[in-house]
Amino acid sequence: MDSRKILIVEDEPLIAWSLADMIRALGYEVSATVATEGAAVAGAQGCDAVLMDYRLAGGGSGLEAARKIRERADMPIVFCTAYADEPGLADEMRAVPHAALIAKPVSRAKLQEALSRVFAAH
Amino acid sequence: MPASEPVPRARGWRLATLLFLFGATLIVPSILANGLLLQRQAGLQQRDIERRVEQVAADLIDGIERELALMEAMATVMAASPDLAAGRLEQFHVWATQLLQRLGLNVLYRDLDGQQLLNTRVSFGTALPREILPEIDAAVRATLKPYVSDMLVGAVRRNFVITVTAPVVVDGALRGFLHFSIDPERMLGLMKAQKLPPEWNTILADRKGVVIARLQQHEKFVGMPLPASLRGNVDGAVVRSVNLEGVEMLRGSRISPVSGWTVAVGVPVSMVRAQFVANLWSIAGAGIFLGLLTLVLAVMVARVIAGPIRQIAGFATALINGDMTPPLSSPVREANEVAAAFRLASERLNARTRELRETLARFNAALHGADIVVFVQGPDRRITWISESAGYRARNFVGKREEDLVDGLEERAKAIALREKVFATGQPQEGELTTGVGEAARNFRQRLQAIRDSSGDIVGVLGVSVEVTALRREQSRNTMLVRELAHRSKNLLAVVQAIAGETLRSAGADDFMDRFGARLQSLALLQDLVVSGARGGVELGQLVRTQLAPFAEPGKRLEIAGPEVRLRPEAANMLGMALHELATNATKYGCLSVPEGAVLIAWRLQPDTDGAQRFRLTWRESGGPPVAKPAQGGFGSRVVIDMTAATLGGRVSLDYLPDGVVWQVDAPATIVMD
Repeated sequence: MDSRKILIVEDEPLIAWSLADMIRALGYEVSATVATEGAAVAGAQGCDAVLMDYRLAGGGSGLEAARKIRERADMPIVFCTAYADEPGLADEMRAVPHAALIAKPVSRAKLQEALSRVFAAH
Repeated sequence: MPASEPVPRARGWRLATLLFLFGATLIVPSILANGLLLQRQAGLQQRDIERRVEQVAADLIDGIERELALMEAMATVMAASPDLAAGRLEQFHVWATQLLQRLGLNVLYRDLDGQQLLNTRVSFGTALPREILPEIDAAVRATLKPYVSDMLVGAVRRNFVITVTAPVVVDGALRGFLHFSIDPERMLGLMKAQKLPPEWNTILADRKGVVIARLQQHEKFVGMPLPASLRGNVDGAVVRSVNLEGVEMLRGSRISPVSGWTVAVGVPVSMVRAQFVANLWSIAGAGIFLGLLTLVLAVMVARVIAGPIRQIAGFATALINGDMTPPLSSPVREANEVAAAFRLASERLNARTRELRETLARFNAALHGADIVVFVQGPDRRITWISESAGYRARNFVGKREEDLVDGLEERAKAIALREKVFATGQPQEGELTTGVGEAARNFRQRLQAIRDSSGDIVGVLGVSVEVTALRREQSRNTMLVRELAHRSKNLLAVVQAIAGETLRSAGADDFMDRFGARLQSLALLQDLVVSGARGGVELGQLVRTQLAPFAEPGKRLEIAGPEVRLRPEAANMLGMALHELATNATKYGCLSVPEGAVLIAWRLQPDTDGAQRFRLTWRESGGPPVAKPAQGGFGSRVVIDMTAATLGGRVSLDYLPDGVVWQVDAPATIVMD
């Protein structure tokens, strides 16, 4: 059992809980599941990585949340989004240092690989 | 040309001038012909005068010849007088005086020594002088025939005389000389007897060129030697010369065979010319008169013709104004015919103009409705015409080029290049032009084609511009929608993935397909509702009826109560999934598992203590078998309680009461409602 805690930022509850099940199944701990940009920034404190959707509840942006989180700590971030094939957005997300990008729907193997990559980079 | 502007003056000859020239072409040759005839006539007249001069000279010389012949005859007869032969000089004097007095003649007799023996000018016995006349005497001695002398000065009276001398021969011997003394006035009398016109002049000169008689101013010139220029005349010739008075004369002369004298007849050249000049003046006068007459007639006729022509020229104003040209009733039939043709033309022109205006109006109306602009650009790319539209004023575009109309450098260069390509290749070109940026950006699809003149040279560009801004925005929106649809589909797949995982976890393998299929069907219905109500939200009543339709019929076992509430898509999805899970559970274990069971779904909006609106919904089952809270919450309870509370940001309770399950939602209306 890995003790590292991961924050899930996802505005769709079913997907969030599905991701939480996957993370737990991979041996990590889920620190919290949040849906908004503000909750993501606040929840990032005390966790070891963030699994971040691009579109958040209330019109929030995962990129913006990631920028704010990185202002406070060099947190490993995995963007998990349906916009992974959107050239401009994907490039922006890939440009974030020590971050990974995986496309929805997510397989457990892809999630494992992404988390391993960002943890390895830190 | 504005309607009020008069017809401009044109270059060319005035009609009056042309008519005058036409008249002149008729008159001038006639005058020239008359002039030539006049010249010819003048020549004929001169020759006629010359012939008359010759004739007069011949007549005069004949008269003088006859006179001298008579004198010679008389002298010869008197020289043979017996009184002379017998020496009876006194008797001879008396006889001769009586004989010659009536004739105005005198006679004198000289002996061989020149001594005058008698002279009828003086009484017989008067002492007479001796007179030496060697030339006369020698001639008579040599020929013994009468001899006519040149001018002499009489020895007695000392006046000018001419003599006809006959030899006095007695017994074959010359005894003396008998002289008839003739006054020059006798010759003058012969001249006057010809009764010539006053301008005419005749002159008689002896062999030495001394004037014997002259018709004009005889006394002044008698005895005067002629200048060399007037001597040496050719017999019968008519020449021009200057007479003793310095007047240029046409002069003809004859020489007397008897005396060797010369008769000259002169006519002033001025008199000869006078008739020519008079005729010339007559012709010139006639020419001037005819010229003036032609001018007057030309002006009058020109007015008659020019009036209708100017009226017809004025018809242009009517044509421009689209009026009918008036009929014309002028003295010139051709002008009336032209006016009639103009009238016919104006009728047809007006009809075509009306058609054209109607067509143009339809054309403009079509352009107004279709966001189409038609324009023409000249060779310098300046707009010379642009179709009218409600959205702009044509005058704001006329005279301008892309440099004046297109803001962006790139778009401006593109627009210019498109036009230059038409000018360079002559081929139609198409392109799209964007003006403005951001929300103010407008897109125009332009098609350009060359305008050529009659020789095929490109003189401009005809352009059609169609605004495609709405189309481009729609295309852009559609692209975004397609992308969004793709994103939503991926999200939906993620949801399906989650549902599948949760269903598999909570249901057995045998039950999986039924539960998963039902949940997907519920999800599909929710998607239909969300998509159909995307703009205005999902109506809650419709959501409830749709989700519960597979389980219960509204109005019998299903009671729905609540105001119209339009839900946000996220709230609609969540409530729909929760209602599906509740209905599935009620069908399996609750009130819908028995025929008498029923469900009440009611909602309302209520203000909270702080005044904020709250959305409250209750699911209440009744008439069913007793229910009990399951020992372990499955996927359904997570959806109904946890996910709903998290999504709606409110409180959710699920109670298993004796009458049945009661599910209550209390959430901020701002999160739930659209």
